[in-house]
Amino acid sequence: MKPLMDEKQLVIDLQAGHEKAFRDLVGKYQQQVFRTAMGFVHDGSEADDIAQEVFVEVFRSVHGFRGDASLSTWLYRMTVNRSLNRLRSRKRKGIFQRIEAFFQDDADWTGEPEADCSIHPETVIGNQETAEALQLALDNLPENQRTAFVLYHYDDLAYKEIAAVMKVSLASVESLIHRARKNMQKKLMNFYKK
Amino acid sequence: MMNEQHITEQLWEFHLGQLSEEENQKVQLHLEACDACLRESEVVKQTVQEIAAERSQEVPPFLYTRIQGRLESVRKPAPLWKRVLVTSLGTLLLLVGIWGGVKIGTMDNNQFSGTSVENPMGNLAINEMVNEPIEGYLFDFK
Repeated sequence: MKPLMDEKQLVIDLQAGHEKAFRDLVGKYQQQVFRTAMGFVHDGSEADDIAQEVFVEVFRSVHGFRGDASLSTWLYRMTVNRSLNRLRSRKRKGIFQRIEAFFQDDADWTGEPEADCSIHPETVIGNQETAEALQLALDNLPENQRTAFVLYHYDDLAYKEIAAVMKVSLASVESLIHRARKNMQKKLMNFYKK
Repeated sequence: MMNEQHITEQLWEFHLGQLSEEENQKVQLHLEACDACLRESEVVKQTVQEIAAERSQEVPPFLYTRIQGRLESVRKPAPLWKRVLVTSLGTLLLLVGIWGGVKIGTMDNNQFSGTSVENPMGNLAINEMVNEPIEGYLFDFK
C-alpha cells in the first residue's frame, strides 16, 4: 500500500505546486522516460529533448490528472506520444530532404543503408551497422507494434502494464509483440543475407 | 524436427533468459541441428544485445536544470522595453493609417475635375454637388 500512498501524496503535492515534489518526480522517473524515448529515437540528445518536453507537460497539466491510471502509466503514455510525434516530424523532414536531393541531382542518396551481403551475423558484434540495422527494422514497424515492442524490450513492462499504457487488450499486446518480432526478424535476416 | 515458427518465437525468450532449463536444452539441441534456425538465432542474439546497449544509456546529467530552464522561458514575460516598443509601433502604424485615409479623403477635387479639349465638361457630373450645391440651385430664382 505504501508505494500507492506515496504516489497519491506526490500527485497532491504536485498539484499544490510544491517544487520539491516536482524535483522528486523528475528524479524518480527520468530514467524511465529517457529509456522509453531511446527505444523510439535511438539518439541520446533527442531522447533528452523528449524527456524535457514530457516533464514540462507534466508540470503544466498535472492539475488535470484524475488518477484513473497510475502516474507511471500516464508518463509512459506521454513519452510514447511525444516520441511518435518526433518520429513523424523526422519522417516529414526526410521526405523534404529527398525531394531536395532529387532536384539537386544527388542520385546516390537513397536514405536507407544497403544490405551488405558479405556480412555474416556472427562477425558484427558491437558493429555500428548492427545498431543501424536495428533502428531501421524498428522504424519500419507500424506504430502500434513498435510501441508494444519498445515497452516490452526497453522498459521491461509486463503485458498487462503495456495494455494499460496503450489502452488495448492483453491479447492485442501479445499479438502486437509477436508480429513485431516476426517483422523485425524478417527485416534483419534480409539485411544479413549472403 | 521442431516447428521453425515455434523455434523463432522461442528464440527471443531463449536469448532473454526467460526459458526453463528443459526448454533451453531443447532449443540448444535444435540449433545444433538446424542451420537456418542457427542463423535466425544469431540475428535475434545481436538484436537483444543491441537493445541492451541502448537501454543501458544513462540520462544526461542535470536534466532537472534543463527542465527548469524551459519552464522559466515560458513563465518569464518579455522585458518592459520590448513591450513598450511593440505597443508604440502598433499605435504609430494605426495613426499613419488614419492620417493616410484622411489625406486621401480630403484631396483637392480640382485635381480630378480638370477639363481638356477632349473633355470640356471635365468631371462636372461627378463634382456638380460640390461646384453647384443643390440648395443654391433650388433657391436660385434669378
